[in-house]
Amino acid sequence: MFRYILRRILQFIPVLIGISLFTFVLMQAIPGGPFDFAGDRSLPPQIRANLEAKYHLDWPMWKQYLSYMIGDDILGEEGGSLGVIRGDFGPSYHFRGQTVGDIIAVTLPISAQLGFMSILLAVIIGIPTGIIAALNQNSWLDYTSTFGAVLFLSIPNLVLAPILIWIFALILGWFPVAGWGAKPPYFLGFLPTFDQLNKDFFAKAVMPVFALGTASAAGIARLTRASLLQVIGEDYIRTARAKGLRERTVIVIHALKNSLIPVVTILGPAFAALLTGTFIVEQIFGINGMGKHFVTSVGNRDYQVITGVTLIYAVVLVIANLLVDITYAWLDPRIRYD
Amino acid sequence: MRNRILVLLSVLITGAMLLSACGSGAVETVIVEVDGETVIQTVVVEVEPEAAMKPVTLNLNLGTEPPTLDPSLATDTTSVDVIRNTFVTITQFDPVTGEVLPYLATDWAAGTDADGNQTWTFNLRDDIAWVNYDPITGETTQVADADGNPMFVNAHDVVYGVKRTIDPETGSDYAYVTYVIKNSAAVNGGDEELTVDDIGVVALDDYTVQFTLEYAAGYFPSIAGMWIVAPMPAGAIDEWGDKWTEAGLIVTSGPMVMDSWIHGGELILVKNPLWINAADIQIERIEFVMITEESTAFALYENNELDSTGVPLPEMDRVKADPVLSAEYYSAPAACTYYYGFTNNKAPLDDVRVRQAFSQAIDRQSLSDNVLKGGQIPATSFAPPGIFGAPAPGEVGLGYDPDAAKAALQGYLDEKGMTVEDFNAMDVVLMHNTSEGHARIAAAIQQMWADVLGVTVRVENQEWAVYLNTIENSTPLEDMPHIYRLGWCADYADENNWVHEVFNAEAGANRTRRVSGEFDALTVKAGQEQDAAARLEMYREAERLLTEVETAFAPIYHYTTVNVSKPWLVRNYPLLGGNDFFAWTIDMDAKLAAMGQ
Repeated sequence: MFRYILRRILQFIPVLIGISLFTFVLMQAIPGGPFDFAGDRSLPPQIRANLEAKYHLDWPMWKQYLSYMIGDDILGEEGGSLGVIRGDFGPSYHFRGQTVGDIIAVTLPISAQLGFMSILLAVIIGIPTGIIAALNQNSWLDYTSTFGAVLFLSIPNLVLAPILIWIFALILGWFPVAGWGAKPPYFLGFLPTFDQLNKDFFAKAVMPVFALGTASAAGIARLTRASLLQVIGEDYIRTARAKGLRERTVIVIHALKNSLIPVVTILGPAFAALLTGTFIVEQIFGINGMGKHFVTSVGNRDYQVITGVTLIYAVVLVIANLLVDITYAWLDPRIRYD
Repeated sequence: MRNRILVLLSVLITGAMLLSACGSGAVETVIVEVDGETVIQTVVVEVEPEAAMKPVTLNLNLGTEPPTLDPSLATDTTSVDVIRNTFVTITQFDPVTGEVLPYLATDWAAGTDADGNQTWTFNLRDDIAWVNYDPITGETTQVADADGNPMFVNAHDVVYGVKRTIDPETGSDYAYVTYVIKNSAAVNGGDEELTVDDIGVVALDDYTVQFTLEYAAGYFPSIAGMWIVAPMPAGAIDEWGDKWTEAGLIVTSGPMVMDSWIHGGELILVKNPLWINAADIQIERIEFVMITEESTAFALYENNELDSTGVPLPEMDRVKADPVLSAEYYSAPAACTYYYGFTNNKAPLDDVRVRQAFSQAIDRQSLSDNVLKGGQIPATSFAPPGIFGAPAPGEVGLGYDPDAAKAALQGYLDEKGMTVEDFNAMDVVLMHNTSEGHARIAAAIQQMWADVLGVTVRVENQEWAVYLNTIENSTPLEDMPHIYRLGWCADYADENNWVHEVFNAEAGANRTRRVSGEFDALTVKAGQEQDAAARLEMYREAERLLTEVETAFAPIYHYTTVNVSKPWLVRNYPLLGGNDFFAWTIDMDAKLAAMGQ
């Protein structure tokens, strides 16, 4: 198992290099550069040239890429870049004075906290709902949960989030409209400190977590139901029942574990997506997460931010997929990595 | 099993109670010395009830993270708003009239140097302190120089700031606005022969600064009111580099100081007790959030969490109908103009009659009432009211006149021997950058052209950065749309910033691809003219040439900002130069009462 994990981690390296190269080339290929305009107007060529020289955008593309990846000193060029390999993701072109590292350090913990709570909610609601629906197939419980799942799957967050604000914040006044409770500096750079985990923190978390979590919960419930129904029909379940095991043991020990394999499979990418931030929910609830940078950095042609957040997403995704693969081995004894 | 659930439940309930208890008191870890030993203790600090001592606080939404708070680098209104409250500028603009007023400079005068270049000499006041705010102790202290003397903003700081903006190493986006200063364009352009010391700015003594200009400019005191030529703190900038604008490090000279700045989240300013007019400033604290979604900001406003905010278009009808909200609603003019540029050398818009027909067929009032809904002022000329030299709306230029529009187009068609179908076959394209708002306006105007002129115009859109490249002067003519959308906002309150910088074929980007002529010579002359009355007349004529004679573009409307403000807030709506939040006032008792405290 250890060797398997090590091999997988080594395989990440070419994947990440490939992703960074692809992103780097692709974004430079879009017409328009980061210094063509300031807000609502275009900049004169002279100003553009000064800025491009300052950020080395006048270098050939291969040199820019190497400077970005390994740093200017190794490349033997003048410049302050230490390269991604030494944790320097470069400066932001739009947020002057901030580095991509600064931006990620502030926004990623917020997105991760929100994403973690959402995925937790999704699992807590989704899996039991799926099990209840499967065990009571074609009963009113099944129909109700299926209806609920389809409903939440099909309401986009763009609609759900403002409705939540309108009902629960403006009419009922139960929760605050927007704003995230925890603020940096964080404990260990990532977790809210103890005194931040107060009523206010959770009150502000309820609506965004609900909006994000329910859509995932609905998907998980549908998948759990379908998968469990399939597993229950398998021969080994009949064997388990035939040897006189209690129904609860049959379901919990034998059927459920196996039926979770497809659920875990989708949890990996869902985890990566939620952890690194979601644009719409963060936007509507005024949460200072990383989701907005995936979208606005492209419009700003903020090359370093685009590549930086893409790489972070890629790293979280490959790690999540590795965890998924390891979980397979635990869920299904037939799967072994050696 | 049941027992276990009970235990779990009780743990959860206790946890929840503990957590909610944290609401009234804060748990703090402190390091104390007990009997000579250092120990770490956890204490519960009782927080005082806030209402009794709550400072006069203004709650606003910035809408986005300010891209920078460095005066040399700022270009956008968000950054400029914050800079305006934290840094003093040489001159300032009257929030109502836009007139140039003394600020750091007490008075100024034009002159001529030995080489015949125009100079502007500013006498500065000597009592504005450079301050640093410590967010931990909450103390504002005056910065001292190497010898321990308290530092005041002086002429050398102005010289340093100007040179820093122009230095190509700084990479200032707005450096081009200073190109009127002697050698500025050359130094910023990387001229090998010149250094920043050749730039035409010099401190005659500690409190007198003199600018030498490349060419005479009557509007220079307006430029001096811009943030890019503000005095800057050399010490802090040298010490902290790019990070000098962070809370705790930043050294400022304005009425407010920075308490905290969580990038992308919130920014807090507090009153500078050492400010010259500190006694006149009532606001003690400004809390900015950065919420991009307009409807969320509006919900916060309705919840009394913001004192003033913009009105999202979908809420406009409700705001106007609601008895409370309509009283809080105000539509303030903004120094911006929305226009459709014509590609003046692309058929069929290479004929002035076609351009006039397109301009006169736009019912601007109807557009404002039914599409924009924010009380926007229909524009027939370029610069909006409040800009020096701007004609009143409707005074100059072509307004809505369907009969004249039809006649102009018919004249063109008859001469060319074409029918409207032949005209439509030329496939006229109107392009705008991708945005719901621009699309709505384009659809309305497309329909007006169809209704009045019977012509079909195709509407296209492109993402902003791509779009700006498409409408460059250097784009091949066949790729250039016939009609393009743009807006222009004032940098300083003078027509030079408008007709000259935008439309002069020699000086500007010349996206309309006009041929240089009478208009272009006139705007150059007007910029150098000293006599204010003569300048007014020249700019009026320039506007007339541009809109009536050439019809190089179609002005559509002058922007407004539509806001709602709580009754306890007294605010103003400056045309340009950023909001002076520090000058607003709040009835804090009324605000706290509304918040139920």
